[in-house]
Amino acid sequence: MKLPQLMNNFLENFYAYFSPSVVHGAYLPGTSFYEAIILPAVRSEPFRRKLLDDPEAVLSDFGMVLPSGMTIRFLENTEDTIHIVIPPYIGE
Amino acid sequence: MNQNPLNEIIARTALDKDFREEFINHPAEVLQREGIEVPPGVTIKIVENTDDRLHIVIPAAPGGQPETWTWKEPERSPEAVQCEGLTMSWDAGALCLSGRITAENAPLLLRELDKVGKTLVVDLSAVSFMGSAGLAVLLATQKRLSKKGQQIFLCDVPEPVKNLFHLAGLENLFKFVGNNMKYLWWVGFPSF
Repeated sequence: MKLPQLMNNFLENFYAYFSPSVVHGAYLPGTSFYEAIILPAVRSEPFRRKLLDDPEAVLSDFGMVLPSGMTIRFLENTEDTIHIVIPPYIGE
Repeated sequence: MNQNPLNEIIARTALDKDFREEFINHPAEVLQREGIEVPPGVTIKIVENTDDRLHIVIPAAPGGQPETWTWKEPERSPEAVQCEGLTMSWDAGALCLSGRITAENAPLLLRELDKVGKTLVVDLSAVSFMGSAGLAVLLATQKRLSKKGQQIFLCDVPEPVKNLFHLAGLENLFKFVGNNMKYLWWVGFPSF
């Protein structure tokens, strides 16, 4: 199994469950986070740049407000760079 | 691709400190050891989420594979379910309970938990009382999930409720986590 394929499978699952209720705020009805943010970012270079440079502004355009004190950053996978995000350590 | 080995590796980084450090320092070696092929020339960057900083990865643009992706609707009750003093609702993949878990409403809780086949977070922060019936339901679910290598994370458990686990000698069978896990759990456990 190759990492790029596994990574895309992983991300596909991730977006499916990244639900609007994570970001407390109004959300486009009937639209998933994937359709509203990720797909345009993949298809459009300017949108992707904007998302990478100023994610809060883009999200607020879509009516999404992050819980206070929380910041969000987008990372761009390319042919030769793969980002793996790991959760905070919660063990003993 | 039901069993993506990345899920396990990422989940393990949250729980196993030595593994986490090894993975951060030598990601390619760890991935290859776990049977994942890293193509030559690919750079892997490990990014750590924190309690207040969230990272989201945009997939590689060329190839167009994301366009074939479909939106998967989780099979859960969209509305909050109320029964005999217990309210159940799903929030960002966590089952949030509030009120009292009693012998009367425990079967309803079991029915809701039975819909879940993978690791999940149960938020108990607003539970004022839980009796042995509730404990039995959580235990049965934990048993069922652990057979598949999955488990329940109990989030923000109030002291009186936690005492019940302690008294029953069951606290080691569950993983207790803080509120931050409620919103960040899916980074480690994305496939429900």
